[in-house]
Amino acid sequence: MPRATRSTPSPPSAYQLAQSQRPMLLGHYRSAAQRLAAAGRQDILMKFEAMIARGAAAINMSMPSMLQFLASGRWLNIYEAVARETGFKRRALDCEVARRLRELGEPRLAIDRLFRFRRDTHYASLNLGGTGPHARYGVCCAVFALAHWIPFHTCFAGDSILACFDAGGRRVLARDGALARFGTSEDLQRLAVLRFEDFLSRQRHKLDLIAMRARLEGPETMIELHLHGKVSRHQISEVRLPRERYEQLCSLSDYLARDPGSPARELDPARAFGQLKIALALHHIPLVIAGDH
Amino acid sequence: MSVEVWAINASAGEAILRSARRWLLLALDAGWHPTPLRGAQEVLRWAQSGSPIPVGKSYGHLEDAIGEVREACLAVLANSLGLKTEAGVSFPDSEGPPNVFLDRAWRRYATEDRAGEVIEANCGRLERYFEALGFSTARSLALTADVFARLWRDDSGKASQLELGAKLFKLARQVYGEVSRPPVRPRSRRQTTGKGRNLATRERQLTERLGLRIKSLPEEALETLAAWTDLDRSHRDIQVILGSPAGAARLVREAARAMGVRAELLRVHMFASACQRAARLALAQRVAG
Repeated sequence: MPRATRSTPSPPSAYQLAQSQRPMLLGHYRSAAQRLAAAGRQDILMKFEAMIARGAAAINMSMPSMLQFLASGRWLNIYEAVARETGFKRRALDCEVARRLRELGEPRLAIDRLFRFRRDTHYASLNLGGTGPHARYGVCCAVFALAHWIPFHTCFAGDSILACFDAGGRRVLARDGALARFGTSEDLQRLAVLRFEDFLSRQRHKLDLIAMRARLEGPETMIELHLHGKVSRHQISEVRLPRERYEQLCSLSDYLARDPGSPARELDPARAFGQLKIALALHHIPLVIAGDH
Repeated sequence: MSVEVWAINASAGEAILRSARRWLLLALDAGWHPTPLRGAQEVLRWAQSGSPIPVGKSYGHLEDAIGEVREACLAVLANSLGLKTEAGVSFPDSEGPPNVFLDRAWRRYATEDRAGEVIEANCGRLERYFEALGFSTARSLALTADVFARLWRDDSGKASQLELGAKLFKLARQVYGEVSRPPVRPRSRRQTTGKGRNLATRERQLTERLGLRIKSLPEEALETLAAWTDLDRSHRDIQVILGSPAGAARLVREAARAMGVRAELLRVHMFASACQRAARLALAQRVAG
């Protein structure tokens, strides 16, 4: 009787594209590692790589988005959300997404095609224990173990959209330039070393972890991760809030508790915060307060 | 200065405002205090998740825009923020009729009952039409989306299927006319001489002759020919676009046979551009016809 075998999922085409960049990336990485070793920074390099390997994936979002994520159980990218709303599939779905984004529809589709992202690709960032790029992309930082998407997630050194487009939405980074910063999950450390070679070469005796985290979780200097496949509530390991914002929300909540019917719009965040705490407790997800960086 | 609500994602409690060239994020999390964004690329980043609804409504005062956005968001978020259960909370529309602002934005851009049906039926044809005219896939989709947006604005969503098809391609030609209008350039000396004129005429005649020879080729071969003769793309790029190298090589040979030339000649400067124009015209005629 033949043994039942577990089928291995085929790698997404984005992963295959990233894999094709590996020889070039390896070449650049070896040169960078040699330069760092020559400057006496070999220990720093090893520690840096070890830190990167321990990183998690994080998605920053607003409090109402987090509430919706917790309630529905799924984190939806624009394609999935529009598909759920309209029932459209494939090209009609792309067309509807382009229509929703008006003049920015074309750059959106162009970047997805450049990296060959499927419609179920989710953007995340590498997290080293902080609250991610919260100032730009939302105060709630949902943290996920990368193991859920291993081995097929991909990464980009920086924020792909900020790197590829200018303030007018025009493409400023050519295809080859963009692909040079694109890698597979196995290339994560190499990409990070290339991105932060200057920073590493400035570290004298030990690695400044706070400065490193600030860089790796900054909106422009972060390492972007692409999670190919579903992102679900049960994959969240914890939700982090920046301490400063948490304290503000606590004082707003005190005001709201004294006057629950207040029409002041400044108190709306406190309403969302109150519900967020309840929802996280309901789903047994820890709320962690983290220092800014 | 007037401010436009560009798009709203009510379930995220957020909206994007535009004032002159500035983009602003308006968010519940920030107590509805507008935060300036660096530019369109940050709007793109914002629109990675959830389903934004385009609005495009202008206000004379920022406060009016904030008021309406907040009202719309709270109407959608009433349940998740627990507004229904709190006695004495006087948020507009939290328990009342559907939010007028959202309803209007939604109607204007998205949902006639037949919208889905019309898009599903015509999206592929329109996209192929623009691709055949030489636009990239992403650009073709964006132009297709523009055609649909014009169709809804025009209120033609209620027309019959036949009228709709004709109307869509009329709008597509209009969109093409707008985006492809070449910039007015002074004529070069070469163009004004007899030699330049003759060259242009010869190119046109060559395109017409090639067009006649390839018009009976299957669509797949025409698409391959158009991509293969694009000298702006490297062989590697073309292989990526065409997917299967073996299949592409067969189709290129088939096209070359139909034209009566060797396949190696297809990427020779001058001849390649005439081939490409002929293939694109043939594809466009096929899609429109």
